[in-house]
Amino acid sequence: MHEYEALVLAFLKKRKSSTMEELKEEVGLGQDQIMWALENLSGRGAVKVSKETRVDATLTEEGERYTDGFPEERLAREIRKAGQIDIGKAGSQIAITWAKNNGWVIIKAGKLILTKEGEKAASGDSYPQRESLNAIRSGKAVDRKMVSLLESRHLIQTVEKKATGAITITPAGEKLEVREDFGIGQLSKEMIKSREWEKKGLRAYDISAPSERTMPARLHPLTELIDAVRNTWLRMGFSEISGPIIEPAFWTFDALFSPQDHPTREMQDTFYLANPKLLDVKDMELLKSVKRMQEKGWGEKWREELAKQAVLRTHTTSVSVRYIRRFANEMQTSYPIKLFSVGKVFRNESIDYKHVAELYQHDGIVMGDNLTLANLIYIMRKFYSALGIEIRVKPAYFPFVEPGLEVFYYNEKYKEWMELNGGGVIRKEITKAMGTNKTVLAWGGGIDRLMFNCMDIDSLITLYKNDPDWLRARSELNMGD
Amino acid sequence: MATVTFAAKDLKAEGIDYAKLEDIVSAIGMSVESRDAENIMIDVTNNRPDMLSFRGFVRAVKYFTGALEAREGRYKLTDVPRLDITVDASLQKARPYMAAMVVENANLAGNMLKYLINFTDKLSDTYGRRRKKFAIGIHDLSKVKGAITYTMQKEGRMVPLGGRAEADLSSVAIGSRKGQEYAGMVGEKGPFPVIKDSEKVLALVPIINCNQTAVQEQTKSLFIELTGTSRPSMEAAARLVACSLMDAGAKVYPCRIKYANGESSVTPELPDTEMKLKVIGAERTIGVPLTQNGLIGMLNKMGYYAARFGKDVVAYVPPYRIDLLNDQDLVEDVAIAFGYDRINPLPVVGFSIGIPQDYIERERRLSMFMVGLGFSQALNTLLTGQETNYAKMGARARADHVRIEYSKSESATMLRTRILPGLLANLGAATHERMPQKLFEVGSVFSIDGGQVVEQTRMAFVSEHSKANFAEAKAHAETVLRQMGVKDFRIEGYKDPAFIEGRAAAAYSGDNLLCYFGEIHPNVLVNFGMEEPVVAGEFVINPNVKYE
Repeated sequence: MHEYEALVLAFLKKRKSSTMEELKEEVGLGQDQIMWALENLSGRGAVKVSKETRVDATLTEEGERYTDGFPEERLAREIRKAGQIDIGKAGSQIAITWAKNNGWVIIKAGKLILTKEGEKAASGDSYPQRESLNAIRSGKAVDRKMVSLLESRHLIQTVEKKATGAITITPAGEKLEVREDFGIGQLSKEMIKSREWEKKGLRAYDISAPSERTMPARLHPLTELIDAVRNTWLRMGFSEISGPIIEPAFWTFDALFSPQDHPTREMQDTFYLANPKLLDVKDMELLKSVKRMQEKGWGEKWREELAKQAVLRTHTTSVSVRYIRRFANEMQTSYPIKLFSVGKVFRNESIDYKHVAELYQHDGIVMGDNLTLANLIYIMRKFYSALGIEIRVKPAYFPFVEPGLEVFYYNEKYKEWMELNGGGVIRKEITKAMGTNKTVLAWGGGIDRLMFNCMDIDSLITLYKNDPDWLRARSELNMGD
Repeated sequence: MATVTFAAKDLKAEGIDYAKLEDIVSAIGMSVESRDAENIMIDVTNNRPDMLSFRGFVRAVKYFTGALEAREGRYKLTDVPRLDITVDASLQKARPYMAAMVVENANLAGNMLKYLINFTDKLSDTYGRRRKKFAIGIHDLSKVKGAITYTMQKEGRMVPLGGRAEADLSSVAIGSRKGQEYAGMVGEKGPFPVIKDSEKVLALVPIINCNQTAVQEQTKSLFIELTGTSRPSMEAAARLVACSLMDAGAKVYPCRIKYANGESSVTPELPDTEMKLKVIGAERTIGVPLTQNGLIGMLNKMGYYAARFGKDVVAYVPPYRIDLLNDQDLVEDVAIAFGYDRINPLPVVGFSIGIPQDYIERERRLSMFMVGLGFSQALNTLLTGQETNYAKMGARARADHVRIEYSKSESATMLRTRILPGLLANLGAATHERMPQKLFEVGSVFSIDGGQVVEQTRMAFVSEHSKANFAEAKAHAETVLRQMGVKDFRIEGYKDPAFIEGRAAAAYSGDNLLCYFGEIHPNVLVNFGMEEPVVAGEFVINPNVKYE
């Protein structure tokens, strides 16, 4: 019998029954060691370990909305009120499907008519689905079938949790003898001092016995990637800048020559703020020159009040353009100026297992004389090759650059070209409005999507779940070397 | 961006090499969304609405591959106006502008009618901003009777396109699917903007045409009308439609629009516009050596007729290129014709040292310190919902947070005012039981103070395990404060429903809150779905972040 087994068995002989937590605390072994001992002991028929699988369920957003009543219940009430309802006017398909499944309605000549069961449902009879949903909400146990039904309707989410339950000694275990003469195992300060090992000897260990997995604390992988991006820019001689995530539309759109009726400016795509609603732009001279640029370029009246609406920035190019303005006003600068920023950007997306509403972006500019598209392509190639990525460049359209480009790389896993960033030569209209006659090369792109190249993840959501075990045990970033 | 789908057989009939098309499309600056043996779907960028049309797309590909030669004045109209249309004064406040044309010898056989309708629909959807700036109606000219007027009308009846019976204008405006989409622009009660001939309402704009003038595959003569609120956009759209039809072999005749104020305009006008391009200017933007002849060749490839002009070049911009503001846009086309793949990358000349942002470096040092204490770094979103930020923390919702006007998700209605809720949610969602679980996060939180947004940098930590207690929280808090270089601080009791009363404390320096910490209240643990004790703390790293 191995020492670990002996220790566990000796403890169980005293206690008869125990738990993993207790064993860990009292026996002085790690979880994996105890597990290993328990496995061997149950192999000998000395202990019994019960395994528990628990399903934890929580309500989804939709589920929360259903707690006062399901759509099929509402439909039943509506039909009762109206006598019958045209199937085309009955609203949601979900309600009809379930009302039918439940035998609440029949369809006659395109009309929905209540059955007896349906009458009951409409008069507020108990509805097992609703009751189960509410039970889950208040943390009560619900039968498995109902759980999978509600889950299939996306009203709840479940997580399976596996756990070790009660650990009990068997009569056979009681009879088993625990050997205690092992020789010296764990060395102690006293033993070292007293040279006790010379008398008792040092016992050889079973080197195949399992060891406890040690868990490091680590930085988030995105931080590592962001720092790789930052360090690459810094090494290439670019200085780091940053700016606010809450901006007047002016810096996100107007200053970048985006017309005021551009579809990306709609509330469907951009987060506008209700508090604060407006943000001031104090640079009067700039307001005037941007107004001039907008009205000349797009031939429409430009409205200052629209430019002052507060938004969450949709790209970090807002930071770049702020700095174009800033350096346009500084006379003592030596060109070219090379800048980059990394920060969060926001898009009004419906959040689900695949989509997130905020992402990291990096952005940069070179401002100076004699700068060309060929320079920009050089910068893009050098930057990505430092991250181990071969790129391709193709023409693309963005309202604030001309010529514009897009950078792609070939993703081996998905077997397709994926976009990394956009860029181009900032339009003269913009540099002029910002008050400079210099040329500005600019680019910007997502950082999160680079993660697909550096780590084996299926969805960006994995990155924001912050599961402690995943954070501790994840693989190293693959930077192509 | 909008997508268009074309059939392989139609492209092949135009002599286009379907196998190579994907590369050509990408070289022109568009991308292929999907393709198979029968169809290709192309993403057309916003600056090239001309390529939404089958003819426009074919034209661009043929120029690019050298199958079509650019020439001057290809689309010039010489005929006198075929129709006079009067615009009533009542339109002035609703949808004041109009353009129109007559088309003879149109070829709408096979897929061509579908392509034309798709083109005009997508054009008015994107460039026309969902028909606000302009809408386009196409009619069978032979079914149009007598004089045409554009007017406002409160009462009236029409047979809407695809319908069988006559209906009130108001019921057409709100009843049909198209009506629901576009009625917002004209209201539901009227008066409605309509185009009429001497017998009937031809179109309730910008919603729907009448059924009588519906165009079929075999229709040869067309009457096309555009109405809108933006005259330049509407007239540009008219040019696009006219060029597209002319490229298909049709003949286009202009119409005269007579406005109530006595002004009149002939539409469409299809002249080339001259644009000069300096050889050296193009060289300096693209960064490749160019010659006058080379430049002319490249402009031809992009569909411009071009000629020498002293040492430089003059390009004749065809009327469908409505995206060109000035010579910068021409330079981009030169670069595209040159080929981005062929541009030799050149290093930027000039010495510079990259300097990182101090505050980010400081945050990293603090992060490494927390890692050293055994905490892994989490990154949560700045967007959150009231449920997580307040309710689950046992707090009543406040009003002094940054609030989103319209969000598609309940979990993204505001910016977080503290970091802790996110970390507690992370622990609650964790699927494994390997204890202890320790997380920290450094990042921004936002609040509103006196109408101004205040951004703070904070750091928070959480530690979940069976022995987590106040002493651990306090030990970590004091260690972190010492690391931050705070020497003088005093610790006082702290009241926060997220913590157990009597087991929470805060550290202050003078009146400034440095951090709060303690044992999380079991109510809050239950709210977040946790089963073990949790201790936590949150530190103010920078009380007021300022940029620049």
